[in-house]
Amino acid sequence: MMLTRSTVVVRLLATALTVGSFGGMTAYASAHVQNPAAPLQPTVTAAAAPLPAPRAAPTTPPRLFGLPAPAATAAPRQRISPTVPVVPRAPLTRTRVS
Amino acid sequence: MSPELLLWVLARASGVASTVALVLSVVSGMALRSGALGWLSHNRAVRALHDLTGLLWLPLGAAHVVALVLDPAARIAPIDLLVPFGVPYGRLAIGLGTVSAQLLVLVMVTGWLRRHYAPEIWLFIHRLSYVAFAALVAHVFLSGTDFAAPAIAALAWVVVAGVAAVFALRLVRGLARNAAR
Repeated sequence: MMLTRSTVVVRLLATALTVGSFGGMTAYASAHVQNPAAPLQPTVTAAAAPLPAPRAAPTTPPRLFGLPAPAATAAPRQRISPTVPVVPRAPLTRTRVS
Repeated sequence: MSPELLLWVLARASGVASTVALVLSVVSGMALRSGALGWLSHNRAVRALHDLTGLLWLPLGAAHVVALVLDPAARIAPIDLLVPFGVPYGRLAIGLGTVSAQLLVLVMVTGWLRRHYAPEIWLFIHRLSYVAFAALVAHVFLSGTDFAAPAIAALAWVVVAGVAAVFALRLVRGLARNAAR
């Protein structure tokens, strides 16, 4: 017993399966950009290293209305807190290859 | 969504969909001789299925490759499409995908030019699709981001087992036919 005798139906089934898997995987991959279990993982570089602990809030006094800012606010960030390195924010990491 | 992420999603979705089309193509090709899809339809429809899926995988496979070449995070250069095993990471996993794609393109092009080849030569080249499919399966499981997800991996293994069963049926019936001659 055959499911169908129509060539068109068989073609439609195959097309629906292929296009459906494309659509389904598009939705799935959009929702799961990263997969920690993926066999190929991105190389951890300095730029992608984990973020350091949050820095303390600046200790400079607030800007005074109508008056020039104190000299301390114009100083480089390192001078305010020299022990905490300024690290650029890590880019979004993800698996490289499907 | 950023363009880079869009490329990433496109690469994954087209890779999986291209694999689905190739599974259908390989199974329908084997079923032409073994009758494994007799429950689905007659041989003419299975032949139509084989012809259609042999074309369906191409734009999807091309989208997979182009998206990965354009995605800077993937670090795949155009030369890597010609020379396998040259990518600085996942050398074997990605190289197998390159080999698979090259063999499949060869099989497809020689299929279009079939009447220009002697039948034995065409058959030899066409049977390289089994090697290409094996390389594809290895590529999928060694590098596929989504095939590492348990549900998708389970589904993929079921499909691979089904393809292996159809292959075994094709082999046994082919040997029996040759023995009967």
